[in-house]
Amino acid sequence: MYEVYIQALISGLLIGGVYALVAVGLTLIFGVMDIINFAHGEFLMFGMYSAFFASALLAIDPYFIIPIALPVFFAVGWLVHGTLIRPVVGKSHAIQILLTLGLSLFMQALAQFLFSADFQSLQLDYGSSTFELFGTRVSYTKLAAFVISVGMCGALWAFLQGTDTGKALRACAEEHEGAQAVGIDLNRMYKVAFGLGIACVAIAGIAMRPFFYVAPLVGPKFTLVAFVIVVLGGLAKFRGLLPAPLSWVS
Amino acid sequence: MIRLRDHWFYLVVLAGLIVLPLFTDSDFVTAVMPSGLSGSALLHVFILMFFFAFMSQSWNIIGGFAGQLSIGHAAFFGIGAYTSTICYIHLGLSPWLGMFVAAGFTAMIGAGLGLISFHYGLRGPFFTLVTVAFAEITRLILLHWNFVGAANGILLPYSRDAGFWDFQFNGKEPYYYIALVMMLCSIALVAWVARSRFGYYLHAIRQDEDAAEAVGVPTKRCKIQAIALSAALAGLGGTFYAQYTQYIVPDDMVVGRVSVEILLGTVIGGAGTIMGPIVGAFILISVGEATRVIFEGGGTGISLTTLIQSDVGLAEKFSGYLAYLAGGGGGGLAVLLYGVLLIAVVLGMPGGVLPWLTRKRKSFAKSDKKGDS
Repeated sequence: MYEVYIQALISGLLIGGVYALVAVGLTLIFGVMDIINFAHGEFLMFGMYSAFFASALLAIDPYFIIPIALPVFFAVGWLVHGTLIRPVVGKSHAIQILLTLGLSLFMQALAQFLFSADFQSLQLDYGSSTFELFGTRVSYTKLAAFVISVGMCGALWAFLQGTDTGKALRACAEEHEGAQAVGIDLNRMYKVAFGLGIACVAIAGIAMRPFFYVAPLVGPKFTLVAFVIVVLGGLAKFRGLLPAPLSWVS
Repeated sequence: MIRLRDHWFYLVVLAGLIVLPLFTDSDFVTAVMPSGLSGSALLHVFILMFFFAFMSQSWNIIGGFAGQLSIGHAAFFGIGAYTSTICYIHLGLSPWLGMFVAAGFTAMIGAGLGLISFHYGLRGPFFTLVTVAFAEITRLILLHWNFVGAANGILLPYSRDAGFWDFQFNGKEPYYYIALVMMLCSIALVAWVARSRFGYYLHAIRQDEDAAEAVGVPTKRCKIQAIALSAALAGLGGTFYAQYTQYIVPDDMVVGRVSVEILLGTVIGGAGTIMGPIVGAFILISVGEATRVIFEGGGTGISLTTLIQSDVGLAEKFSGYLAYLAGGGGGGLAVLLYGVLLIAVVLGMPGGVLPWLTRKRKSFAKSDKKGDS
């Protein structure tokens, strides 16, 4: 009987790791820029599509496109910030939310136009293979998604703690004016934060791709989950984030 | 006193709308409008427009005048539709009365939501997140509650001899006039709000809540009243939708897309203005219909899935894909334009199209006067 709970706990834990990465992207953007990104799930959806097409058309294993997707989605975030987000930095939250809502609407419709409204799912040779742990079945793809996500979170944490840019980002999250006073280029930090946030959520999408279908309207579900995690863990607090998804799944 | 002279433009439009159903089948309309947009199809477009304008107007009270961004109005809309429909099916209550039961019920729920949110001092984005969560909870309840049809929703009983009291009509004309009257009533209500003490309070809250509180505006009470009023209107809209489409289902009604569509008209037309939502709904429906006519709804019959799985080279797949895109791709172009419009308005004319036009006209008038002197 208790195997059911262990099963639920383990798969919850594994998915929770991916959700944490989604939420880390949202928090990074909110913490540094003070902008709530309602288009967050749509970037995840595009990440999923990139993995889908890589394997469906080019027969590349979805995990192998992560090194390519990382800089590409970082650049996408950088560009989106430069063109759309930058004009509303420092404006009212209502304006910012409406802008990102418009962006999410646009991205959903773009995905429908480009990829049609059909649900696409990916069949991998190892997609349904599992191994046994404490008498329960654990899927390899979910474990891989967990490892990738936690690895990304760890890398991001190391980046924020160890590098000058990372420290500058944290300074921005603490205090905008103070950061500016000591010579941090706020605008550049915003670009980096938005690019990193988008890269995180897109990688989460790729990691989830082998066991989750993709459709143009898949995004809002994840945006909502990310909001819940972030609110539980405390907006703009990176450290609160890892335990939060675990409480969400259990 | 409203001077009619100042509003001649709106009065001419209104007169045109009142007589419009007489001409939708005429040769002139059939000749001028693109194919498929005459007769009852044209009436349907106008009904949608009035309905959108009405829903946007309901959002305008809380989102525009009070400045509290709600992205959960689809919940009030859905609860309204379900309330009157359940009253009709199980109690035999006429939807004409049911719609006011629905409005009362959604007003209560709106007030409850406001009470909880504003009691804990939620503001700005945090209130917005509460409305998102509220809509999702509502969707999940409706989706899993067997009494209200769960995921299958409710198909309203159709009877051939349904009369006026069943809110069921054979032609589209009755719905047309009902939607028109509902839109006019919502305009009148908002015009009254805008000129009342309550409206000025809301305006003050929107500008600066702390300052409003400091000068003695009962901010919490006003915000709760605003959300209750707004929710009541959305509930009425829900009943109309249920009676017009005769079919309600949670996944079509209580989803984020609907919440966004409700606020789109107001934000694009002009939040916190009386005619803004009407102008916005007109722009949106026109854009939607134009893309539908130009691209014939999108979709060429080529299935992307078949294309991907087909046994041809990458280059051929790519050219096949280009043909697929040229034929309108998977559709969705209207929503794409909605997104572009929303972004363009937020970036280019914050406040909306109508205030922007008014400013333009004033600056033209000024430059004309300068030219004269």
